[in-house]
Amino acid sequence: MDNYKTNSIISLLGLTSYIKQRVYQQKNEQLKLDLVALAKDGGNIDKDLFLYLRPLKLAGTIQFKNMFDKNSNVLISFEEGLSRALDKPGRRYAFCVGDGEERWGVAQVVFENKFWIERVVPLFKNASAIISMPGATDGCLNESYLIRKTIELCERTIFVIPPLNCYKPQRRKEKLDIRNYYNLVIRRHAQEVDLHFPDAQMDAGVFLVMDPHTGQPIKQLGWQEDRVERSDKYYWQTLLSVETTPVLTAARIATAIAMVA
Amino acid sequence: MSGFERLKNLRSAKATRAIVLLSIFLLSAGPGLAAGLLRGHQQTPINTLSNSWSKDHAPMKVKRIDPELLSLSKDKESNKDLFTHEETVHHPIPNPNRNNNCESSSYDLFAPTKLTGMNLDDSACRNRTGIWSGSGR
Repeated sequence: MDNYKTNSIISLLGLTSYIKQRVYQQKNEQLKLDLVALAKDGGNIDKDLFLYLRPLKLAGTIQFKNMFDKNSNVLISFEEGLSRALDKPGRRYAFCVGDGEERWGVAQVVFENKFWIERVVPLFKNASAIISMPGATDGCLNESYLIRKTIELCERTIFVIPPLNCYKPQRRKEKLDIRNYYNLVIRRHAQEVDLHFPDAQMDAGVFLVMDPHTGQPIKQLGWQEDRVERSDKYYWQTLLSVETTPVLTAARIATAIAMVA
Repeated sequence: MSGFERLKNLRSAKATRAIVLLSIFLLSAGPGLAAGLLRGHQQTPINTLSNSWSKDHAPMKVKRIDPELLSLSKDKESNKDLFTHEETVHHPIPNPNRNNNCESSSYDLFAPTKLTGMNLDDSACRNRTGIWSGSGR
């Protein structure tokens, strides 16, 4: 029986969510142990950590067509895409720090505000690469400022400006005017952090590596596109339609990471 | 002194004491309160993390990204910019001869409204099956 059939049966039985939950629970337990090791003086772990920074308002809301499974009818969040592309148990994993509202997933590790600075600095220092989706809040600008001012960090950070039409607001979260929000993100970063990102696009996303000296992009890599040419056949006539959506594959995410290797 | 005057003096003394206490409170705590209120409207200093970073003397770890992951980045097939798929959807063709026979008809009640121009009278089906009763299309 091939993987496709196995996946279909698992989906039918409603086990996908349960399995994911178990996988991420184990991963988060391991991550917590690793964070304890890092918090100790001179602590080190022999794993590649990929730290994903994003505004909490956008947590789980950037979603695109799933290119990781054969059944691509469901959307996948950017967080899960990163995890699927980068994780290998015992060797490397992507993670982000959440706000405690996520029920499960890569962002289940939560720091209290008062410990934020103390705990997050070791993560910055130990990350093999940082993936940052810039935000408009003071906290996000603070992180961008640290990256901008620290050459070694800037050289290992990949900024990602998502396609705005991939924004799928969640019921429990505040619904943003994503166009205005990203205009604000770009403006505040230029004015206050001296990082000059290109404008966000509705249907195209981009990964960027910024020059720590000038604050301008020095490398960039676009998201991929999935184009579906659909013909609807009715009786005697055929209607043609084309739909293009931004997507990411594991290889494209790895290529983005390779920009800072 | 009458009872009324005594009460009046007492109230006046209480008011004076309250004003004095309030003044002392405002003079001592006022600047702190004002600063707190102002801070609420000010932006958080943007170098907070940066300061913490400079206080932390531990050197940044030299990291090497897993070569296995980097080899994945060279996968040209799944790394192409555009994925093109073709989908053909065959919508059921209505059979006019079976127009009044809902059970055996392949006419799809849920097909797009394009089909309404074909003079298909599905009202009989609606009434008979009950699917459409009252809901309209």
